[in-house]
Amino acid sequence: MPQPTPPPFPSIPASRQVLLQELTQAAVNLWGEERAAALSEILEEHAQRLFDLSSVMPPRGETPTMGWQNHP
Amino acid sequence: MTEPHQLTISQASSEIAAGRLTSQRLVEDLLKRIDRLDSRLKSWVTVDAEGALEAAQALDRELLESGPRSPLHGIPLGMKDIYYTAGLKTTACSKILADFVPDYDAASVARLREAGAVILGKTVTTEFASGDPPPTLNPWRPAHTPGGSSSGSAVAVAARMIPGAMGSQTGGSILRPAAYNGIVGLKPTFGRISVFGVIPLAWSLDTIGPMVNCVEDAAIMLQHLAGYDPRDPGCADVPTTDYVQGLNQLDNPPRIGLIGGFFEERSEAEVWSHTEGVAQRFAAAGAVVEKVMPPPSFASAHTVQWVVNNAETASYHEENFRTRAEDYSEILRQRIEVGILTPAVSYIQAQRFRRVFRREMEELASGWDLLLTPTTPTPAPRDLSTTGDPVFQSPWTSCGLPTITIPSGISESTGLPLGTQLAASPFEEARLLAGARWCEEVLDMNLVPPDL
Repeated sequence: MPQPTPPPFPSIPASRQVLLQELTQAAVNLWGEERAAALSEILEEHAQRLFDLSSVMPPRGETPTMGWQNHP
Repeated sequence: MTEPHQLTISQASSEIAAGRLTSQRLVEDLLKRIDRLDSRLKSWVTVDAEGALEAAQALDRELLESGPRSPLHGIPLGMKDIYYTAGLKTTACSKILADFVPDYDAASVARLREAGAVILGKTVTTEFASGDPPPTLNPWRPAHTPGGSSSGSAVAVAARMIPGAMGSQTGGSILRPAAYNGIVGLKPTFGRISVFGVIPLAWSLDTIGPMVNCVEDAAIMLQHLAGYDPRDPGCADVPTTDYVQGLNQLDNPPRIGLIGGFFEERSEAEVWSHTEGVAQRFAAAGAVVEKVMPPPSFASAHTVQWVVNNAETASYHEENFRTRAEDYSEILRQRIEVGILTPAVSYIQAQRFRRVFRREMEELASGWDLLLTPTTPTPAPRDLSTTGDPVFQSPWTSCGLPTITIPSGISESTGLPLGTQLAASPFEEARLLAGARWCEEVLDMNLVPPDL
């Protein structure tokens, strides 16, 4: 009997804008309004990077590694 | 007459072995040079004059009694201030470690000492090898950045205050400052040299390597640095070879893939035109040169690098950051903060994606002896608030392939050095160095900053 196709891997952020709002809120919670405002530029870049990453899912069989030891 | 400070490692080594120069005389000459230049260039954090002279005298005596230990016997070297040096301050140019004195040597420092090198002192790093600008000045033009994070090592070597120094690269911190200052910088394969005892920035990216004035000197240093060390979990148990001997074992001119696409689009017109000219000179000298394109995964390489680097940086600094956030400079502080805000899933996806990237880059490299790009998209920018753009060097750090920059000319628009970046397959440093030596001979460049 054929195996059912697994559901697609969920994308973490709904959009770059939502992600930016979440990151900014987290920054406010951790370090306050003033510091979060100082981080606005880098948070924009970070949100963009995280969003870009979420749109290029690696193949399912790919495992993470830090060194060459587990290199194929 | 050539002064001792003008000699490369290889030249000084020959003079010392032949008895025409002593290590003590070489150290004394370099100390004079540092005394004359470094109040302006600010490339050294700590100069260990007393310790270096003592070591040099002992090595001179040993040479008379039992001959040289290696080509590094009696050769003074500088260590970036993130390398542990027993009994010598290691501050990472930070407030956090302002008074830290390690009680042991980094593995690389110990290996260099065993080979007979003299550790002359510690060179300026950007704070914790991150992105905040250093006090160090570019000896070519002081209004332009010297690059970073291995700023002091690059400037000290370029200004002939030391014949060789160690750097580290997590994004582009060896090759970029080397190119901006007109010297050679080697980033070996990830895991080729132990990073035990080197203060980390991001464990899965950090790679250390030599900064010198010619390819032969890079081979001499790698000869004594490379090799497995179980104390470094990222260090690879892959056999080394004789890199110096290997310099002369190129049977034919190299087959070179000139990478276009991203590298062409992001280069200033003058830089890309220079790189095409360099490739044409190699072709005229007998190399096979063809244009190639980066693989599909290259498009995400910088994003992956960003996520991994910041998350790992935050992990290393988290403990100190909780109580001493104000003691961090602004750029590093921001990197730690966005690292803290990185979801674990994103970090792991980046590491998974990095394996895809690494495989595709290995595949590209396997078809060529060397891959060629400009080292940097522009010459050193006229902006002391930045250390320049790592965009051409960081993908190689991320995929772990070995790279070297060699000086390849002077920018007509700025009068600053331009570098050419060469890459090879993993653990093929012998091929990379032999190819780079061939390219160096074709280009016949010896760049020395003016007015020093």
